[in-house]
Amino acid sequence: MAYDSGSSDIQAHVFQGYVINLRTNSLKVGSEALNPFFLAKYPFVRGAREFVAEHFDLGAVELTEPEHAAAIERGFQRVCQAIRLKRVRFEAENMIHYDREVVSFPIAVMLVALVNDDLLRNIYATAEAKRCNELMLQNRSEILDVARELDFPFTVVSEEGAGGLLAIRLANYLSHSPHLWGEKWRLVNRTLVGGMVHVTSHEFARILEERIKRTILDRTRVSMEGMKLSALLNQKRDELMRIWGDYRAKIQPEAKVEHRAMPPCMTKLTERMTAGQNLSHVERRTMVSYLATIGRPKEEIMSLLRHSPDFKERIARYQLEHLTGRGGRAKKYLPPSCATMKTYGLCFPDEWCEGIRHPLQYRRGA
Amino acid sequence: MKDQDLRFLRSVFAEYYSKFHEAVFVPPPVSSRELGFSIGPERTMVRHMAFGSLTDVRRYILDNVPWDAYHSCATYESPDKPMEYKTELWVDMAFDIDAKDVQPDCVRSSTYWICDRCGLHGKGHDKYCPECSQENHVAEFMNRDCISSTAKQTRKLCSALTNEVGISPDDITVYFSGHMGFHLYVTSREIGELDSDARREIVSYLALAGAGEGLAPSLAEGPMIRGTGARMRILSELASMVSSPGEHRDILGDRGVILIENSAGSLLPRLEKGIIEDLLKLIGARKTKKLLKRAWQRAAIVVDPSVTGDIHRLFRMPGTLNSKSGLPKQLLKLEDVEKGVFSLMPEYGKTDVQVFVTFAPEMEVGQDRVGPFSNEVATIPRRIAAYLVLKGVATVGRRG
Repeated sequence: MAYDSGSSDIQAHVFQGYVINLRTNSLKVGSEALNPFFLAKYPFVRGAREFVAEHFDLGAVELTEPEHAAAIERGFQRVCQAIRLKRVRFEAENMIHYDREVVSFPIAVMLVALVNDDLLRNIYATAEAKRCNELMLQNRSEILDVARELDFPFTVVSEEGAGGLLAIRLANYLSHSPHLWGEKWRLVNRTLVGGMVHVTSHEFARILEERIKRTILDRTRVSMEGMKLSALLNQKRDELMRIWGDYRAKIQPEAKVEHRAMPPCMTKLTERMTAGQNLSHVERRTMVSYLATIGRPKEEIMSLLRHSPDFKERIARYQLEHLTGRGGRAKKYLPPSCATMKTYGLCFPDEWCEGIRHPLQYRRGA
Repeated sequence: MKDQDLRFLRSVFAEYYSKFHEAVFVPPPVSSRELGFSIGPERTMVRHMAFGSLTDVRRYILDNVPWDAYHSCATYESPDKPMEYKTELWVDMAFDIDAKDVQPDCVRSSTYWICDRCGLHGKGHDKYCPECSQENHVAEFMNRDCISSTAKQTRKLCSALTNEVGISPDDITVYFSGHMGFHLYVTSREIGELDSDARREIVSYLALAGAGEGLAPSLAEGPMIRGTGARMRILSELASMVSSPGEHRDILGDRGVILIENSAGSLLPRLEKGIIEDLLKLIGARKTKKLLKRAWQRAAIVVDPSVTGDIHRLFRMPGTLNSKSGLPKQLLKLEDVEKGVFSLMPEYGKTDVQVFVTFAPEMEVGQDRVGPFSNEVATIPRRIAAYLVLKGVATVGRRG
């Protein structure tokens, strides 16, 4: 296998038997020319996937031989960055070693699959998707290229304004749940004509971020049972298990929320949060404002928020202060009424909900 | 319910099904739908049934004469298994446009309390008889105005679904529910794959719920209001209001009505393009603002969110009788939505029967106009008698 992880030859480079001409930046795969930097940035796209699938056996003994140490190290680093920083970093160096970057992605996915914990899956997929969003926002044409690679149909409505205006199919819009991300995403506040929802290219990048996250999540769910791994990969898996165990131990014991007296809508939100699901902005705001209003201690809410796949201490603390009216703001946010909860699809009433109009009115009988 | 009334109702239902069993319909693929029936004197609900073909369904209905028959909007791999083992394929989108949601005041005005003991009655939902303190019986009667408004709402819904949501008119089917509203099916495969949450969002969109400030057309936008999608719906509503100014005299005043009537010819084409400058000049900013607000309220399309959002729900089977009225759920052409309810009713139960009626207002049931009745014996067509018996205000024979 002609893998040269450390090569700095920028004229021509042999990448798994495929000649990459760096003057044109094109990696020939069949008849299609794909920019290798593009594959390095978005290693989950069809082009990268086909390439890896065609030339690496993910059954993986080959891929995990020591000569791939650099790629394995980077794969391991991807997951560690996701846990520690809630972002996978992508820097200039990653562009130079674009080949390593492409291969490190399926290795990271394998490592996550080996740990086999939904919270880690969510954290990793979210961190990768956020990285992609940041990269896409730097280059509008990449937004469109990623969409094409992910088979996400769109049409260009207008090239005017920053990034232009695009239209995507209603079913595609709704299936990515942006209506739960805040008021401006609600369908009623969008232009909807003939089944097409208008979005700016930046908004489209945000929707693609969600698609990327789901794509990666699916890939981390493959069963690794019976797969033979090299000693190096085994070693990295054990190391990751230790790191993950420490992280889990840090968030686990504190995050107990007493459910007994809570309405079912809020119970569901806290349960989903504890299970490591990535709650939307609206869901998170609803849960936090409810818990704060019923007088839960701030630290208890913070420990619950720590389960979020994109948790960042500084941001979460700021948002908590903002919602609870402390930290310089006089305004205190109340959770939404039952009617609003219904329109968000967050209402799951039980017998004690009958007749109440606000989650704060919920009282469970004896 | 008395045995003689049960026997009578069963004979009317059986007559309908023997004549019109061919009208019974389950959206294809029949074998992938869960069916449910309410059968027997106790009206026992039987769910999780599956049939190989429409012929089998019709035969079952002829044999069992159910009170109500339902089908799932969802299609399943194994429709007859318990819910957790059914494996959903796709779900037709269903809308229930009920007069109770669209015109609650109208429905209230045709709702009566009736005391079965002393025969007193009155409008409203009063729980106890003022004379004898017996618990009242409350009945909603069919009312042409309520049905009319609901039909208009149904047409608005169709138009929003085609223009805004992008559904092909060929994928939309409309039925009279057999009671006080309409059922609308969308059979597009793309929509069929949406989850409950996404469906509820469409319902909110249609009702203009959760709208931010940007949606409301505002005078601050200048002489021309640009609008697509839901905004266009509000603007067309404004144009339609301006085309019948007399209905908005409370806002326009007599002078405003005359001014608009005199310049309707030039005003309307410009309003339809979103140009409100002429209207502003004619009636002033204050009244235009009020008209815009009303246009917004009228553009909101109200449907029952629990029906559209619940993907496992059973929906009344087309062509079967509704046990609240004894009338069939009937396929309508979009242009006949309103007329159809009253003029296209199938011919059954036409022979007369004698019943004792505690109370019924004057009303139209299908093509028949009957009533009012008050503690009297009436000789009326069997299907009207069935309607009154099902409403709990009549019993077969000469006395109650």
